[in-house]
Amino acid sequence: MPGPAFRRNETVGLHTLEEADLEFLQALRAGPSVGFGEPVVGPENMHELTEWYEETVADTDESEGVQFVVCPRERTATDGGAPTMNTGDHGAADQEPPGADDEGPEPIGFAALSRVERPAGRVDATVAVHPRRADGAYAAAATRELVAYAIEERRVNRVVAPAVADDDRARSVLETVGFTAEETWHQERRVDGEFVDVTEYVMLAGGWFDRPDTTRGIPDSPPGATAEARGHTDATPFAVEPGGDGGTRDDTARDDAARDDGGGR
Amino acid sequence: MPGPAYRRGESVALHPVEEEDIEFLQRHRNDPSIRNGLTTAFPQTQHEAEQAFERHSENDGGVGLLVVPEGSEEPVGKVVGFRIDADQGVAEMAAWIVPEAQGNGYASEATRLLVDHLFEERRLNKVVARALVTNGPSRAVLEGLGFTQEGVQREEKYVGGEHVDVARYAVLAAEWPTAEVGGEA
Repeated sequence: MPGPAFRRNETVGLHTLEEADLEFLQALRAGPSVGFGEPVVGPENMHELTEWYEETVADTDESEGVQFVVCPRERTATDGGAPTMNTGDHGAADQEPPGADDEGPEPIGFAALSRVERPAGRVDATVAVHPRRADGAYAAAATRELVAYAIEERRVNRVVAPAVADDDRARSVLETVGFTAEETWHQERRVDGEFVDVTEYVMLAGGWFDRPDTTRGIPDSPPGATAEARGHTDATPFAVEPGGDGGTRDDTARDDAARDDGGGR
Repeated sequence: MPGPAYRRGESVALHPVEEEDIEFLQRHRNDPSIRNGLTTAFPQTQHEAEQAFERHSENDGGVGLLVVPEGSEEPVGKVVGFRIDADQGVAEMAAWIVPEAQGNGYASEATRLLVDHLFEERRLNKVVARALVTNGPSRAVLEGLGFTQEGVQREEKYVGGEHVDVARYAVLAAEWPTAEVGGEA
């Protein structure tokens, strides 16, 4: 089961990736999905994924990337509301993703930032949504939230998303969110016995903030106080009431043990 | 469920964190409505929450207590004293209350109870607290308790795509009304 929500918009939440989600992730990565980013090359067993989880996810070095499970805001009925498209020859779209039990948020995808480069502030974005939720709305919502996180919280300047050039759904998702196609790399990947081109899509912070629906696009909005305006209706913008700590915790989170859930005795 | 009450006020009590409370802490540590005010911009997995619990339990350099309303067994927030410097007699503190429980004065009373502890039992001389300048409710709590704003750290944090100022507050032991010196809390 995915962990708690870390960011939310009207359509999806980005939840922490827990060890119990690896089975879902394994199935997601083994089959076709809607999205873009680093390709999966070759089979991955649970041993490999568990090692990756322990080294990269569970105890994250903050200079490294970040990984989320994508969950719909409303637990979706499994009545086939989401069209299944172009599922290739794996047939995975007919199956409920593993991990979709009746409790807790339902995992439908994976979203990650990797290869964080400082001081340039550039990062690679990966999004993969299970084909059962393949109409693109979930992938676009997850992408949008991932970009907002990178730019508005991590002060990233350039978010890079590689998409297979003839993958119309991936390109549509990226263009919906406002990415610009920068370059196409010919025969960059080998997929199903063919060389395929990869297009590098990019979102720059300047372009992001120019959009009417992002922080600075909201007139008279105080800095940062835009969660509600952005549709995070169940989340007040600030931790109202914390007897003050606005700042601190960030520093402490990095350099000492007594951070926000900290200082236990 | 939190451990037995460590300090009691009128509407809330402060309880030690127990292992069963890790899920509560992880959930709210990741919740944007809380972490934005704390300016923690990194997700915390269950594994990390467990590690933090163990680290804090074994470390006496800080103090973290759950805020539990009177008559309830469910925590609604947390107060933390950290960077406790016994030589200088200075500590920093922080607090948060879940959105559903806000507006009841819990943050104010929980903060007061923690400061009582830091002054009366740890014999500190000064308690510092910082809040984003945009965080009106948190600043109101501190000002209501008699903290003095010592300054503004300009563009100290990056939140919601903006560089935001941080207000630094502090209160001295001599200014703190306690039963011991005859004042009223």
